[in-house]
Amino acid sequence: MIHFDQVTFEYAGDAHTGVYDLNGEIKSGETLLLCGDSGCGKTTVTRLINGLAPHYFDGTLTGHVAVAGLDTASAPGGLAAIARHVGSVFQNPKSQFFTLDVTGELAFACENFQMPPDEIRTRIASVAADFHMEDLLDRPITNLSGGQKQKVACASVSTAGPDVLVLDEPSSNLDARAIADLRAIIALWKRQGKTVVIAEHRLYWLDGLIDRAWYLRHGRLEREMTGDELRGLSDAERRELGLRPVRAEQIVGTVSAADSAADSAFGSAPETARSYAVDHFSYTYRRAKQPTLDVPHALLPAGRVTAVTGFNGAGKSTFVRCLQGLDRRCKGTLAPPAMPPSGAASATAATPGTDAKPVKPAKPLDRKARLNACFTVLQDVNCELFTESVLDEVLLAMPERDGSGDEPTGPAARETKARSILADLDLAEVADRHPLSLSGGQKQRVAIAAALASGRDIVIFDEPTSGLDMRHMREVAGLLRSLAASGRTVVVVTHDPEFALAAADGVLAIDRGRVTGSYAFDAAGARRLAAFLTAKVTA
Amino acid sequence: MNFSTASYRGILRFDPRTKILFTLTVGAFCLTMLGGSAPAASAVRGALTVVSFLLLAVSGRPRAALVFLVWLGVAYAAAEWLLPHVGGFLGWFIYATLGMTTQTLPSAIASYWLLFTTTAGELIAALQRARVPQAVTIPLAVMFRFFPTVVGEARQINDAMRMRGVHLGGGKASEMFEYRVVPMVTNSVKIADELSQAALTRGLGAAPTRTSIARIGFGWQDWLLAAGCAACFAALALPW
Amino acid sequence: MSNDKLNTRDYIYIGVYTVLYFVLICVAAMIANLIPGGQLFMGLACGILGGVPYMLVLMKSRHFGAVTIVGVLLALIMGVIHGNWYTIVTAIVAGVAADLIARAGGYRKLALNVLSAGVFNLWNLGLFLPFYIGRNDYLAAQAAKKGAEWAENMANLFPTWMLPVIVVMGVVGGFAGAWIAKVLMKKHFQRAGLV
Repeated sequence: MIHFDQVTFEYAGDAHTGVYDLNGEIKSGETLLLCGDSGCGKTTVTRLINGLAPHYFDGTLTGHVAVAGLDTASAPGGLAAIARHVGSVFQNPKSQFFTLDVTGELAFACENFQMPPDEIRTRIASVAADFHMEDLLDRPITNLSGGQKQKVACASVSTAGPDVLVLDEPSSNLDARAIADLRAIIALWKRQGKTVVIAEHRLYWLDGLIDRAWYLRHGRLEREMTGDELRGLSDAERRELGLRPVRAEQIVGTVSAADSAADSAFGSAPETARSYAVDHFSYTYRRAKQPTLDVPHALLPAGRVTAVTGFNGAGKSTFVRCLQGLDRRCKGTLAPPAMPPSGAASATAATPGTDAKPVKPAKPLDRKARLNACFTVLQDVNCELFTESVLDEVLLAMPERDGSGDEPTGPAARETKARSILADLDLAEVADRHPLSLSGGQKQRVAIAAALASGRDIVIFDEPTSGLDMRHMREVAGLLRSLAASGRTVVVVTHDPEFALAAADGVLAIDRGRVTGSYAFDAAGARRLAAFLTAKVTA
Repeated sequence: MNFSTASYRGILRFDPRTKILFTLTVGAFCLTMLGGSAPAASAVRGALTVVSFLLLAVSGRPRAALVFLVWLGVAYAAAEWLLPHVGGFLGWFIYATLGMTTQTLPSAIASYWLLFTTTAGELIAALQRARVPQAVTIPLAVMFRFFPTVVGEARQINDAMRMRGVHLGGGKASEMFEYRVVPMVTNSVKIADELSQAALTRGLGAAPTRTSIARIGFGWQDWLLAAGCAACFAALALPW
Repeated sequence: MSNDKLNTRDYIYIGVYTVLYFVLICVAAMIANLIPGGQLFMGLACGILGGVPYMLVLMKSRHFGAVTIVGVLLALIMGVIHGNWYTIVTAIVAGVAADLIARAGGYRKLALNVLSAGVFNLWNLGLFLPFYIGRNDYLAAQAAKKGAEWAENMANLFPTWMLPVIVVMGVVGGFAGAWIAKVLMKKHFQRAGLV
């Protein structure tokens, strides 16, 4: 179905890695996995199949790519001709729909191919039935969850009936439930005899679907494996390749082994005296009778990393917005811990044991106070890069006056402090670059630098690992751990079990706006979380 | 700019092209004062205003129609009883406000009716049938789809600024503008890029025309309303 | 992709930039309407805030048609949907004229691009023309009951001498917006590799 003959593609800019000397064939009805580190060239392979390279991305192509007998580079009609044979699903559910309602979206490709309206309606009805999404038809797309949007994206390529489906990191922004749906969709395509090519970092959810896997490194096809070979990789070998777990049961094993140090330090329930106490958090939508979020009491251990987990729409994001104090409709307070975090050196901490005179009285923080006590690193980090240089970005977040009043606060002192924060985060060389010209990981570290500069005790992360490979995920996990080690209380929203186990000391599980569990990651806790976050896929 | 998301299924279902014709007719007479002070023009204006109210009321928006009606009534009452007694700058200000209100409201009602009974898909389909080229229909479709996105982005940027203690009015105006516009443009460009890839790989632009599943087309209502609009223009030509 | 004329990708970008333009001029209109009589300055404010997306349209494609399309879109949304014939005319004329001016410099000459932004901003004249041109005899008669001198002044809602003032302010607003855009391009968007 797809042939690569001595294919080399290099992008016109030097922004991305290309693909070099690719030879191979993907047979009709086969499901092929493209794996490897970020920047290994797997996205480029998907672009070679759907024609975006070279028709959308400028670059030089040598060799030949043939899809369903069409030479993709020279096919008359270009992208549009290839589009009839190849359907593409992308990473970001937010940016790949073109119309406002689900039915219109399912019709979109067929309308472009000038199919008669009645035939399109028939196709929509049959695809909606196959995908079990009749209830979504006619609904506005903007109101759907990320998982539902991704389902709509899959269905809308399906209506036009392409033989080949190309998915580029489709699970990056999805929770376990949505991933289970995606798995069912790929299984359906497989049954229908479609050729499916998936580029992915998260692999456990594809267990049993993969016929063959291509492992790429630096733009070259380095290793070809059958599905069974991929499944049978030893943990050591898999880690050597930098691949995430390929089976759900590997998640607990790998991570708790790598992170057993955290277990002993932390009991199974949070200690009240050393925790921030969340009290009476609630959020009620306008005109709604019942609150969407209702948390009478919860503990966030100070100087620790707490993962807030749950499915999409469970209220995780609402919870952290409440915590940050961003929304006027949020009710509730946050009480600082009575005692400083054990073993951590916090600037405001008194010596452990002198409980008679705490440095700060534990006055509960109301919404406005929390606005200046917490700092959120947003999921879409581009939304919080404002200035013309990395250094300015850090200075903008630094308060004008230091709370202690001891340190000098002149511009020179501020700059010195900012540069030392940047050096700690490995950003010293890019201090004068424009933040928007950096890589995704660097941008995220700039936001973390701003959080550090703000000097606030609580740092919140909203889904920091969407679409990261193993190595980058571990880097981010390490950053979170070091923030906690410096005495900060870290709260991280995530539905990625691998990341939660690598980064966090404990979990606050939320479902339908209520806290359903609060426990530390000892061995039992880790298994409990992994089971919770992968349940639907393994079932 | 808020299009209906569900298509209108009531009895008075018009083709979007007819609705546009009606709105343009109301605008011509009531907003741009076609026909000046000719008695026929005044009669046409009254009739068009009444029809606009009725259309809005029977299309499932009676409350909106009532609000507009009260608004217009207050404006005319003020013109009748307040305007003759006030002079000076205040008098001019009231005069200008009333003038703008009474001129704008009828076509505002018509365009409100147009927007709330038409989905974006139907409007695009109607424009395609009217042979408007894709150079216009594609960006227009993108606009409808992108409005909610840009509002969401703006909200996130605002959150990020509040966290840093940068408030509206809390800094130089130029910085307030810069800090908002720069991330907004950056994110929009990124989304536009991803949207283009998704649209092109689904065949957008494959052919100079597209088909559409939106159910549009002319019925007896359309001919009736179109004839009414034609009659309005004909009334001007008649010697009175 | 072939770069000899506008393609589907350009159309999508134009749609996105026009939304940004639209959102920013709505903000400008809101600010202008906060002060009584501020409507006079609306054109000025629209020009200043709308400069960035306008210049992005100009610089992204560098082909004839992009600016014209924005003009047509404004004619559709602000004119056709609201029944305002004047806006249909001013938006299309301003769009085509601005496009031609910028094309004369290959979309690369700064002076011509700035001039083009000033001319383009005149599209919003159409929003106000109904209140300058249309004679509202009923209201004028009501106002004239106050005194004889009123009848003279009040034939139109706004005195006619205001029109050239608005035109000049509109062009100046467009210039200012283009200048702001140039500063931000250099400071941010070029360094970030967006244009």
